[in-house]
Order: sequence, then C-alpha cells, then structure tokens
Amino acid sequence: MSGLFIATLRRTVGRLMPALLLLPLPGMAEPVPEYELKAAFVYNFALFTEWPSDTAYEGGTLNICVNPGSALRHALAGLNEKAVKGRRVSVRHLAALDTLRACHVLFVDGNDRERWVQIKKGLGGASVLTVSDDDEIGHDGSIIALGVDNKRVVFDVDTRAARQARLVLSSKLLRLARTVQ
Amino acid sequence: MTSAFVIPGIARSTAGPDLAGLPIEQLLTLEVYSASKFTQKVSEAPSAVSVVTAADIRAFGWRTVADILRSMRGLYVSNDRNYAYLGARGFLRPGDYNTRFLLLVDGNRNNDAVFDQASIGTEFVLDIDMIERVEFVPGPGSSIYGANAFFGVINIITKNGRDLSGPQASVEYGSHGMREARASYGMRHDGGAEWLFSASSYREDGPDLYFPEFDTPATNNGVARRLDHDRAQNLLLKGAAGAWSVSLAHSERTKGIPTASYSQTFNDPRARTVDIQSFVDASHRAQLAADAQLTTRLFWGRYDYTGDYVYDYPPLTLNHDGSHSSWWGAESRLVTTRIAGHKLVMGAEVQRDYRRHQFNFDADPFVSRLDDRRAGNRFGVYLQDEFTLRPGLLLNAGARYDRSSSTGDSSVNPRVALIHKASEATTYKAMAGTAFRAPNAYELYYEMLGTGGQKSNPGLKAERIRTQELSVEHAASPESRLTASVFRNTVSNLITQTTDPADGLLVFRNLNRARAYGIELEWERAWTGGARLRTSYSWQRAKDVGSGALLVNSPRHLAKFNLSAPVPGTGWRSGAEASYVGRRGTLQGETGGYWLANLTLSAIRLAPGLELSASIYNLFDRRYADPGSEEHVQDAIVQNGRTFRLKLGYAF
Repeated sequence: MSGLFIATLRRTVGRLMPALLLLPLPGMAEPVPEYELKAAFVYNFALFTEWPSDTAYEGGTLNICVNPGSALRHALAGLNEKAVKGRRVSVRHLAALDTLRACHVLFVDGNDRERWVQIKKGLGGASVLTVSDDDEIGHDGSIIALGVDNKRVVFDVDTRAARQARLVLSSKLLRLARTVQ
Repeated sequence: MTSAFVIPGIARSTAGPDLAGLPIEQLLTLEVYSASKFTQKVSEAPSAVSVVTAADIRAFGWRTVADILRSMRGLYVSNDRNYAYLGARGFLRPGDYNTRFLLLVDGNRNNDAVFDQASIGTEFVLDIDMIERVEFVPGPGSSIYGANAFFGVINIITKNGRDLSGPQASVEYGSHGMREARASYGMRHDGGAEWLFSASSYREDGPDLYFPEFDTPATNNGVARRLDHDRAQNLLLKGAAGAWSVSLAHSERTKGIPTASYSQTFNDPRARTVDIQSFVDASHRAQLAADAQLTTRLFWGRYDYTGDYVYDYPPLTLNHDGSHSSWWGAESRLVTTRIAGHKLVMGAEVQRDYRRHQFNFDADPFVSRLDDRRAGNRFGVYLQDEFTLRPGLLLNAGARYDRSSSTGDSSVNPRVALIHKASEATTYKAMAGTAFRAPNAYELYYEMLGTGGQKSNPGLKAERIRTQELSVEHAASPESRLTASVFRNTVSNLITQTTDPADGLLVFRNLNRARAYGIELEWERAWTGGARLRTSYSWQRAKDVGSGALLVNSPRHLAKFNLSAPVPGTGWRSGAEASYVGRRGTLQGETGGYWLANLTLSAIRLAPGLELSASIYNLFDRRYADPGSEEHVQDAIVQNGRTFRLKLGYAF
C-alpha cells in the first residue's frame, strides 16, 4: 500500500517532494504526546508548591488524584515512582468524592465538569492543588489551568484560589505562567 | 468502600524521553501533538455520539464536511457533482437537500429558510481549516432543537483566536486543477479577549466527464467539457470578550453542472449554480449563580441560491432559477443544577423568516415563470431534565413544542433516555423519541407549470419519525471504547416527490410510511505512542411499509476503518482510511458496492511553523457511482478516480 503511495507521489509531485523531505531540521525536537507532557507539568507544579506545615501525609505519600475516566490517567500513573520533597508520589483514582481531602494534587478535566461544583464544595478551602485541563472548568476556582497555545502547553495561575487553599506557589512558577490572576 | 484506590505502577512502554525529569522551562518549549480525547462525557449523552477533531481532519486530509461525516459510523454520502447528500441509517431520499439533518455552527442553526438545506459540500459556509471539532448526534433531536433534527444533528465547532495565536497561511494544490489559498489570523490578549479572522479561496477546474446517456454526435459524444468546475470563497470573523462572543461568516460557491440535470441541454458551458450565504451571531453567557447559566443569542442569516439552466425550447434559452431567504431570531437557554440530582435545560427560540422568495424566469425573451414571496415564523419552547435516579442510573427526558406559521402545524416531540452505568467501564442506554420536519417553502410553494413542470402543494403536513434504540458502550480502558447499538426508525407522512397522473406535473405529497432497522458496531482505540483507530460496521435495512420495497440509495452494509499513526523516527504521521458502501438501489436499477481507500502523510513540524501534507484519494483508482435523482437522466453518476492533494501550511 505504501509502495503504491510513494510511486504515485513520485509521479505526481515530481521534484518538489524530495526537496522538502531533505530540508535540514537542525536541533529540532520531535513533537511529544500531549498527555505525557501535561503529566510532566503536573509533576512540576507539585515540585514548586509549598503545602502548609499541618498537612497530613498518610503513609508518607504525596497523593495525586485523577478521575478514573480521565484520558490522562495512564500518563499520570507514570509519576508513581517519582518523589516530591522526599515523599513518594502516589497516583490515585478518585471515583467518588468522599476521599477528596486525602488528595494533595487534584487533576480535573472534561470528565469532571458535572461534578466540579460538588468538588469545589467538598474541598472548601482544603490544601489541595487543583489543576484543571478543560475549557469549561478553566479558571472557575481551580488554582492552575492548563491549556494549549500554538501547539505548546501553557498554564494560568489563580493566586487567590491558591491563597484560599493556603498553598504557596514558587515565584518561578508565577513567572513562567501565561497569566497570573 | 474506598473510592480512591492506588493505581498500580503501570509498566510504561513509551520509549521517549522522561518528560517529568525535564525542567519546567524546557517543558514550555516543547511542541505537543494532541491525542484524540474521548470527549466530554460521551458515555452519558442520550445518544451514541461520534466526534472528529481538527487533528483527525489533518491526519486524514479531509476537504469537506461531507468527507468528515463519511468516516462516521452509520453515515454515507452521495454526490451528484452539484451538491453532496448525506444518508443515515439507511435513509437518503433522492432529491433531498439534507433537510432531514440539522446543521449547527457553534450551536447556531445553519439550514436556510427556503430549502432547509444543510450544506456539507464545498458550499459549506466555512473553510474546513477553521473547524475545531465535528460532532454527529444520531437519532431524533427535535426534543431540544426543533425542526429538521430528524435523522441527526451535525454540530460544527469552530476554532477560536487562541487556537491560532498569530498569522497563518496555507496553500493547496491538487488533481483536476485544484488550488486553494488561505490566510488567517488569531489572537488572544492577556485580558482574555480573543479574535480570529480567516479568508480563503478555492478553485477546481474539474475533469471532463463522459456520460454514456448522452453519447450522440449532437451532444458532443457524451462528453461534458470543463463543466465540473467548482469555485468557493469563505470568510470568517470571530471575536469574544468576557461573556460576549460574536461571529460573522460569508461564503460564495459557484459550481458547474456537468450532468444536464432538470432536462437541460447537454454540455452547455453556462449551466451552473451559485450559493451565497452569510450569517451573524451574537451570544452572551451569564453565570447567574454557581449552578445556573443563561445563554442568550441573537442571529441573522441569509442564503441566496441561483441556478443558470439552459433549455432548448427552441430556441436555446438561458433560464434563471433561484431563491432568496433571510431570517433573524433569538434564543435563550438556561442550564441549572440547582436542584440536587437534576440537570435542567430549558429554553425558547423564535425565528422570523422575513424573506422566502422563489423565482424562475427566462432571460431573453424575458418570461417570468415563478415569483413567489412569503414570510413565516417559527417558535419553540423546550425543557430537558437529566436526573440521577440512583448512583449509576440516569434518566434523560425532554420535550419541545414547535409551531410553524407556514403550515399552521404545531408539534410536540419528546425524547427519553435511560442511561445505566453498570460499572466504571460499561454503560447501557435505552432511548426512544420522535422528531419532525415541517415542509419547506420549496415543497410547499414551488410551481412551474408546463410539460415536465412542478406544482405547489400548500396543504402539505410535517413528516414525523419515531425511533427506538438500545446501545452499550464498553471502555476496557480509557484508551479503548466499544460501542454497539440496535435501532428502529419509523417515518410517517414522508414528504415525497411524485408525478400527478391527472396532469403529469411533479408534486410533493405526504405519501409514504417507511421503516428502517439495523445494528451498528464501533471500536475506538488510542495508543500511548499516538496511534488512533476508529473502525465501525453497520447493517441496516430500510423498507417502504406500503409496498414492501427496499428504499432507493440505502446500502445494507457500511464499514469504516480509520487509522492514524506516527511514522516512527520521522515526525510524520500517516492517516489510512478505508470505507465500504454496499450495493444500493437506484431509481431504475442498482449501483454496485465499493471499497474506497485514502492515504495521507502529514508532518506538523517540517521546520518551525511549517506543516505539509500529501494525500491520495481513491488510492486504488476504483470505479464507483452514486445513485442519481429524479432530475437526472443518469441513473447512477460515476465518481472521481484516483486524485491527489498537496497542502503546505505556515504559522508565522
């Protein structure tokens, strides 16, 4: 199939195509998968966040919670072996909301739209770093909103929501954010 | 019960770099390719929705909305080299300008006010590159959308300023003298305001076509020379700031008619249709409370169609046929979750069709054959509630009342769906509902007396459909989804074009009752490496209840296969597409089943900002034909053989 494709391509576009294929691509990184990249951002957000001293760490782990239906589930699970400030990362499924307060980082996306209002109520100022990846949820109370701008991942920070959660985000994070509110 | 359980450490197969180990500054510079998201609670929708994204459009080299819809489960497309026609679940009525589908652009109705036509070919109002996502919601949508949401709703979501972030340009070149150029600019400001502008121009000379039906020396031995030409211009302007958003679009499409449809003289270079459409939409979203949102929109639209037809009465005469339609209206919709366990959607919509003008005249000597001017109003109110009966069991019920002044008809259309989430992975749905389509101005009032002419029928009533569907969705993992459904549709008072034996004139009447039933299977899979697969098979049978005859243009089998995958180590992505349409009955006989394969290779980052794609359509040069309609001498119209396209895009 691809043999025929190439043959037809050669015949029809003649000299143009090979010339384009041979364009040098100096030092260019290949595009990376969106989910893996966003998961890497989530990990970095945790690295640059200070939780209050009275935060509980059951079993000594830093818990990152995600909806079991989220497309980022697998990518986030890849953070399981990592460490944040000496604590092991544990990625957890958040199916129902009764264990919401065991999360240190909560990742929400389109799958959580319907329950977002309940999540916000359930958190009620708890020290949970909420990271959203959804146009609709966007800045509606989440501390960090992920997005894609010109094929690059960007993030916006809501410092008021961070203050309410008694979280301190490093100045580096604020500097790199696309917008800070 | 503990609901937050630890995900076991998954052995990850990605051979790529450990992204989480990179400094955040570097992460910000990396370019991302987006994976297909199995979007937004598709599993809880009261229908088995199909979704296609801009990434798919690029990966498979699709050129029109018809190309996109053709790849979706249960849909098929017919082309008569003038317009593209959509079929769903065994129904594609000859001569139906997609009036049984509601076409929405960003939620706004795009069907016009004379024909109720859904434009899915090159006459569609937008450039395909401005589309962010296409959703097809099969089944009756009248319970929330009103008229024309008969077999399904096509929702086109356009790009926003932030999706472009600066200037972009693209050029295309392809077979039969096809070329297209587009310039776009999109911007999002720090305050959150964004806007987008796009203009494009497309042209295709088209092949010379041979029609054996006209193979006589007097009619150029059946060759229509330079008559399959196609030309279109599209313009889009969009802006959003705070709660407000406005969009404005305009398009003009001129298409040659190579088929000598409507008993024209064959191979006359003047035969063509021109479709011009424009719309302005303004909407406002107000967050009334944390759990209540009110959306209000105002819209204006127009659709002008003109056809230049050539008849040898004698003498050889140029005849102009056409319509002007203009409308405006308003809609308000409230979505609230204030009552625990309930998600309520309620709304009202009015539309004033202030111009529904149809005309037909001979240019020289001037003879007016039709000059029909009408106006009309449409009004609808609706309510839908999605409520949780118990955890995992949702009931989605709604109804809409519609009234149309042109027929004096009013209609209430309910829909109810019971959605049972048996487990995290498996969802069962049982759905039932009705929809209606009011007769359009063309069916009601078009009249051109004389041999081979047509007469009006202001007494036409709306046609109705009743559907029942059962479906199951099984997501073995978030990256894999299986969908199976069984459906039955019953259409009554079907508006059908027929010849009155008393005077030999064509007329539309509420004649038939038809029934279709079938099954659909679909499997979607996304791999971590970036490969995506969507494949489906449909079996369907559609019959006229009175005569027991199978419907025309209704294939029993449909199969689709769409695989897009990165070519390892190259930065290129390949999109392979194959589709099968079974044997279809035509008005006189039948046209054979066919397999069609397309292949696209695309690189989204050949150099900074530069993207390139190369496509071959009908890869194996298969010969196939689509059924003709009443207005064609041809019983089946042969489609294009192998063609190619090269597209180059640059983001500054």
